[in-house]
Amino acid sequence: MRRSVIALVDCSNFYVSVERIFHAALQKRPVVVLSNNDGNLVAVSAEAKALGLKRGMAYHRCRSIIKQHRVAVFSSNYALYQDLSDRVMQILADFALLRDGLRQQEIYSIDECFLDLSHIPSEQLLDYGRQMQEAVLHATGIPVHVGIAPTKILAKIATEVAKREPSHADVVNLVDLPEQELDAILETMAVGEIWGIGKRRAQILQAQEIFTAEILKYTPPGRTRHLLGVVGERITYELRGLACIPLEVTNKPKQGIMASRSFGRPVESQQELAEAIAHYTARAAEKLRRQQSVAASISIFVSTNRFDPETPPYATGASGRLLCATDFTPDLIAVAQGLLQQIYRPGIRYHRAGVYLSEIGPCHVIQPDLFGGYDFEQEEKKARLMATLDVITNFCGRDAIFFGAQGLERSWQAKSRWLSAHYTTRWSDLLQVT
Amino acid sequence: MNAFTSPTIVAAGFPSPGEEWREPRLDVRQLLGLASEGSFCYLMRSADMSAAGILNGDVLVASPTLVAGSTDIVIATIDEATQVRRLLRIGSVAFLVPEDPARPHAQRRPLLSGDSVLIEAVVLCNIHGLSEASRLALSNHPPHANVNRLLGLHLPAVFCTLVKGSSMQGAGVFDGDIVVVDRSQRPAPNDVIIASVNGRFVVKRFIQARGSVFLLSDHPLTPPVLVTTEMGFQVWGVALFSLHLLHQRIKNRLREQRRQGR
Repeated sequence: MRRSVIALVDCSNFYVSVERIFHAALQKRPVVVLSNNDGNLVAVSAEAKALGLKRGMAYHRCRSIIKQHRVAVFSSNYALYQDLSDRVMQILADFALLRDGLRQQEIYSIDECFLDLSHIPSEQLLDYGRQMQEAVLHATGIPVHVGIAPTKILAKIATEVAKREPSHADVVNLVDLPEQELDAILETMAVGEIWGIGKRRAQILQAQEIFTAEILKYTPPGRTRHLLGVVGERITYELRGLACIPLEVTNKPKQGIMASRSFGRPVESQQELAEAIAHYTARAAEKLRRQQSVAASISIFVSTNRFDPETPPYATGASGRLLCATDFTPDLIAVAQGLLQQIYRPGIRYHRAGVYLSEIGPCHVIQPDLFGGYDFEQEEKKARLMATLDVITNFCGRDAIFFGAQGLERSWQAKSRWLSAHYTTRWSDLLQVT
Repeated sequence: MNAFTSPTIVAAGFPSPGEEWREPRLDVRQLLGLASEGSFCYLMRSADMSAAGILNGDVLVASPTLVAGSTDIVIATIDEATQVRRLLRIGSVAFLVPEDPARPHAQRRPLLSGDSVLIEAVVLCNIHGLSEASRLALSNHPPHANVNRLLGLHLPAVFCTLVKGSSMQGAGVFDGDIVVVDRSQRPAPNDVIIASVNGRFVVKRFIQARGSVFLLSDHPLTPPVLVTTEMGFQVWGVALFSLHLLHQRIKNRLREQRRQGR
């Protein structure tokens, strides 16, 4: 059987760490990052945690603490975080096993990835982990935790240990650890902390007096299968060091393009909803043209806020096809707004809307529709118009030119009052040095 | 064990919240307004334009399609020799003028109808190497170099910053220049670095002497700074290149965008 070694690399307090790269004065100060629309805390620095601030707290509830202790507040700047994430992942990929011309790396979330390290001898793993940590810290300034183990579940546990116990200096290797020592670690880990076991599954296990990862490990796999299905059985095997959850390496080709946002306030009128749909369609079409593609299908969806206790949950969507695949924004907006007309219901407090473009193909293949309705001259004109639009947007910003359907006021747009600059993706936003 | 190779897994990866917001990384061609084709890099092999901030060994990025206006810096072939000059025009008379403080009285006669002059391209910016390695990279650049690759903008540790003030003018870093920084390099003595000092970012020359760190400006009137522990000094990265924007339209573009914000 092939030896399996998996590392999980997890960026510590990722959003806070990214903001600190570009704000030298915040190294030791408490920092929090707010969710979309400045609603809740999504990232909290260690110093802010010490003040009693926690992830998930509503911003307006902790405003007084924030003011009193001069906590630095940021709106989430996803364009910036995604760029830094891409950089971190690019650095880490080089450490992973190369098989079939592909680095064995699974990007699991914006701040975590799994790496196949089965090519590294066991006695070198700890050092190798430190090298990865150093490389990321040096190139980007982002601190990471590294957990190395024979399986994904154990690697996740290893990073938890690294976070919990500072004596490990952020890198923990469980490969070739004597069984008793591993069991001692698993004993301290509640089942609810195991990756893949949510609240519901944890309750099922606790009802059977399976409280810790160690007990789960020695529960017969047949029994965990009975309790949690095949998922439970796999977790049991993984805790025993038998890898049965493979890395998902292949980069799924981008099949569709999504543009969706939640609103800054509940939206009820069709007029405003139509503006939002048009606005997101324009964004999606811009992305479509950037990758030189055309789309033949467009879907829209709208939903209420499922966290708002006063609004009954409601979500709906619709899809439509274009006669001929296109990247022409006005055509796409027309179809999207037609779809909205079909699904719009008055009296609902909408919280989110989105547009999804699919059936995407390269733009240089012309597919005239079945009835031969393809006017070359007309298409040429449309392409020129879109190219001009993109050039103007590129140089003068998104607000320089847009379609009337996108609305002028856009008072429904989400708030992000404390957004930092797009330091790594916009020339107008560069970090200033004196 | 065969049962476990089926593709269903315990927990699917979270859709990254940033995925939808991803923006393309900084692109010099986009800044300069260059189409994908039709620009070229030219290695400056003289001090003819040093007063304009173009130093010997710099790489010029030029556009062959832009129409040269008065006060633009151009690459011109004059009597079969390729030269970099400033184009000055008044009425129907044109001059191609060098800007070298060492030769203030270089010839400035107007172009005559019999002269064989061809304006090849308008210079948009020049790239100045701030370390030995980056100067070498510039002088060895391939003829059809991709500017972004030349600067290393595709590398995960490379970031761009904007210079405010002229404290590093002597090193070829001017107010309004874009400095390309490698965060992964450790600074060697005399390197130009970006550092955080007292909660602010500075661009300075890094000097170590008698167990202390000094930050030197390359400007005769700015005294060196002795780094003390309470300054919270941290090296942010080593400066590789400075991009000196020569075309007023491009500089305006940067400023206009900033005012508009998001």
